[in-house]
Amino acid sequence: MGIVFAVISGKGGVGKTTSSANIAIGTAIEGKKTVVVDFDIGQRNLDMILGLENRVVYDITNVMDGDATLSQALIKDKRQENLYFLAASQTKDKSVLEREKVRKLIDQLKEEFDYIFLDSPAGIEGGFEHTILYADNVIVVVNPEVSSIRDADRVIGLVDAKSHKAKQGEMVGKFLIITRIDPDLIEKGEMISTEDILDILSINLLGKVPEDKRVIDASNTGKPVILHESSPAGEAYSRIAKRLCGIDVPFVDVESPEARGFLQKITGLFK
Amino acid sequence: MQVKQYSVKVFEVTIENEEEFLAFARKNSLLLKRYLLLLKGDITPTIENFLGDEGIAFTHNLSLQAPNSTSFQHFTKQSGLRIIDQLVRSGQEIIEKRDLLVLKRVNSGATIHTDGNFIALSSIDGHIECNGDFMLLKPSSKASIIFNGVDISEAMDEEIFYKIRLENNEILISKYAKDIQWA
Repeated sequence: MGIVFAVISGKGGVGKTTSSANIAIGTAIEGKKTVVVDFDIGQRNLDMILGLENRVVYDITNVMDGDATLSQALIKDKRQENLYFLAASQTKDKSVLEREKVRKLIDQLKEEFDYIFLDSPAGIEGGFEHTILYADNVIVVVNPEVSSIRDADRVIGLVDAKSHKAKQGEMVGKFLIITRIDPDLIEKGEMISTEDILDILSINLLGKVPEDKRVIDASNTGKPVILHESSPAGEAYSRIAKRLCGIDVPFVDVESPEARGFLQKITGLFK
Repeated sequence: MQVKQYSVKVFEVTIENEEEFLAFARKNSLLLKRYLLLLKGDITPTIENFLGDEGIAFTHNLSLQAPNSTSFQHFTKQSGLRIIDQLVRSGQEIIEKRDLLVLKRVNSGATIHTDGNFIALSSIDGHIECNGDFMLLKPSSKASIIFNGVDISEAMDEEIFYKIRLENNEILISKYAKDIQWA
């Protein structure tokens, strides 16, 4: 029986889709049969980040409506043996999601896969609610700035109030990923420190991802940073994926300028 | 030796007039038998005999101290206590008529409204409205604190615990402590 992770943030543009793609590749590399599902109906992006956009034939709404079977719609990544992808519909909008159909789809996925990642849309409307409804765990993505943290706080509250598991009185696992950490700005006090973020949100830290220009390039070329050699963000996602697979990986300091210097040195070696 | 401890209800009566006291004691003798009388004033032999005949226990040399009522007068609105042992997150709204004790943070974007007194043991970033007589809280610069309809956020500019009370229609704000020490 697979484990369902909903990747959520509240605010848009913090790195949800990038995180979903990279972590899913990471767990696939660790040998887990992984599927990543784009729940952002009407605004699909994950296919491009994974470099699979030209292989999408059927999407999630086709499966839920019974127009295609799950195996027809699942796209197998050629680079990663264990990785599958289910695309969002680009033509429909979020109103096509129905509770019962979502439950059926997730039950099917749980039977076939070890790890199921659901990439949630931004905001707290229908699409978001359907993503967290049947999640066993949520991965909350934040940037070290106030509005992102407040929105994350809001969605964590909604997970506690609305998810199926929480309503049954069970605990939904909640994990935090801080992305786009810029050591210079933290040093200047213009970014909120990890300690303060954890104090405010009070959930478990899963990983810290430093700002990395390669993320943008990676989206454009369809080769996620985790597959790049010597990308600090890619290495951070790789550590996160290992932690999710139960491997004890110590936290790496990505916040102090010295740490960045260290990463730059390593980068230099590979050039 | 055997020692036992009892709690006894005591009626304190000051005798001013023998006739008046006897009339009162006769009328209430059934009730008075269940209590110990602490008599002040002149205990005449008539009174002593009457109480002895009726079987009413009394004493005159018992020193009792009435509770000092003045020190509690600020907490008159107290009416039960609700304890919140969860983080109050953005978008959450708590409305309470009773007193409120909040153990964890109140985050930015959260709202708490109480008609009773309010005590919060962790930082406040959210919006608090309290209509009670007393507050103890540690507001951050982001917090907005309304006490009995008055916005007092500006008056608390350090991130420490403040004590706020309403006395004779005046709001008194005083610094309490940087952190609360649990002895």
